[in-house]
Amino acid sequence: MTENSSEITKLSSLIEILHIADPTLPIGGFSHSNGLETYVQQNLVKDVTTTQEFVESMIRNNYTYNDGLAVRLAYEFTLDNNIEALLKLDIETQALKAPFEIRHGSQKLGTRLLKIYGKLLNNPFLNNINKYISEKKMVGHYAIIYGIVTALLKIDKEKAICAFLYNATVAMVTNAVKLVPLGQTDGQQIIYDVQQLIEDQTLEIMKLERDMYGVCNTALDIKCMQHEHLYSRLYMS
Amino acid sequence: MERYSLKTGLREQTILKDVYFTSPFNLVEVRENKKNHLLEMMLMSSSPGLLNNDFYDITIEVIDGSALNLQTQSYQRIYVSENGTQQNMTISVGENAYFSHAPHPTVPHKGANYKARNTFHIKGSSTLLWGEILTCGRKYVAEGEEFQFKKHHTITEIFQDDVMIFKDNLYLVPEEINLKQFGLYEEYTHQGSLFFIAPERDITERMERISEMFSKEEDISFGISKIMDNAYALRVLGNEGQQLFKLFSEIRIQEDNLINQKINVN
Repeated sequence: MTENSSEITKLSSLIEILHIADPTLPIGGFSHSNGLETYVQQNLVKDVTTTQEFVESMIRNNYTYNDGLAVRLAYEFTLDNNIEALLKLDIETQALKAPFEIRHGSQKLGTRLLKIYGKLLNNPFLNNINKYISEKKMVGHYAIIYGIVTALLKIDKEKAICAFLYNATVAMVTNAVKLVPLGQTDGQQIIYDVQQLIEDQTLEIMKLERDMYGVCNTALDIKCMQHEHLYSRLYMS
Repeated sequence: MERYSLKTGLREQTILKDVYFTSPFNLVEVRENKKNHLLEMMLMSSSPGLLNNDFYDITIEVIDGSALNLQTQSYQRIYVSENGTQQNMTISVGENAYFSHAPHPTVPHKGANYKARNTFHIKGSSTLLWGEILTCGRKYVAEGEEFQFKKHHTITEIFQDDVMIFKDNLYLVPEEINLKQFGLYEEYTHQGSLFFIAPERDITERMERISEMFSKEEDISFGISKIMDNAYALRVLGNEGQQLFKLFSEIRIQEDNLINQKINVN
C-alpha cells in the first residue's frame, strides 16, 4: 500500500464516523428528549447554567455506564464474532431500560439505524442481525446496533465511542435550545465546553468493568417515567 | 459465610418444607391466619447488621403452586468494613407460585462497603413482588452520617424462563460521585425500587392505584412504568426511610391479600 492510499483510507474512516454520528441521520433522534422535556416543564432545567449541568451529568453518569458502555461491548463482541454475547447484551439492555418510552425510543432508533446500514453495507453479519430481530431473538437497541456497525466499518473503537457521546451531546443541546429555550450560540458554547468531558468519559468507558453496565440514574428514570403523563408533550420521550 | 435457605412445600396451603440457617439468622413462621394459603416468614438476626467480612448467602425456593412472603424485623445496617461485606441471594419461583419481599431499608453506616447480587428465576405464570430501599446512612446521629459510606453496589437480575426481563444496577460511591447532580438523587437522600410481575394480562389498574396513592405523599418524587404488559417498575426518591417502607409495605400487603383471596384454602 502506498502512503497515498493509506491516507485515503484514513480519510474515508473519518467520513464513516462523521456519517454514522451525524445528528441529522434520519433515524428519529430529534423526536426524543430522553427525560429533558420533563426537567424543562418542571422548571429544573431552565437556563444556560442548568442546561450545561444537565448535559454534563448525562454524559458522566448516564451515557458512560449505559449506552456508551453498550457501544463498546457490542463493538468488541462483533469483532469477536460472538453472536451469543451480542444477543445477551441486547436483552440485558432491554431489561435495564425501565422507563417504557426510553426502551421504545432506543429500539426505534436502533432498527432505523440498522435499516440504513443494512442497505448501505449489505454485510452478512448485519443481515444476520436483521434476521435475529425478525425472529424476535433480539430487539436491536440503538447503542448496540451502533457498536456493531462501527466495528464492521473498522472505525477505531475509541473514536466510535467518542463520536457516540458527541452525537448524544448535540442531540441534548439541540433539544434544550428548542425547549428551554436557549440562544443558538449558548448551545454551541455548551457543546464546546464539554469537549474535555467527552474525551475523559470515552477513556473511562474503555476501562469500565462489565459489572458497571447499566448503573441506574434514579431521578432520570423517574423523570422519564413521569414524561408518560405530562399534560402537553412535544417529544416522544 | 452466613447462610440461610428455605424451601416451600404444598399441602392444602403453603407449608415450610425445608429451612436451614447459620448464626446470626433465624427464620420463624408468622402467618397470623392459620387458614391462609400464603406462608409468611420472618427473618430475624442476632447481629446488629453486616460487619466486616460478612458474606450473606441466601437461597429461597418457592415451589410450583406455593406462596411465600418473607419479612424482615428491622433495618439492615451495614457497618464500616475494610474488606467489604457481601450478599448473594438466589430465589426461584415456580409455576403459579407467588413470592413477595419488600424488606426494611438498608442503612450503610460511615465507611460501609457492600456488594450484593440478587438473582431471581421465575416462570411465565409466577407472581413476584420485590422491593428495595436504600437510605443515605444515619441521617439523624449527632455528627450526621449522610452519604458517609464508601461504596454500595447492588445488582438485581430477574429471569423469566431463563430470559432476563429486568435488571437494576445500583452503584453509589458518594466520595466520587456527587449525588445531587441531575439524574441521580437530586434533592433527595433515599431511594427505592419495586418490581412487580403477575400472570394477569394487564396491570394498568394496579399502576393507576399506586400512582394515586403516591401522589398524595409529600416530599417524594416517583415514577412507575410498564416493563411488559404484565409487569411494572416503580422508582421513588424521598427523604425518610420509614415513609418509603410504609408505601412499599402497603403495595406488598395488597398483593399478599389478593393471593390469599385467590387461593381459598377452605
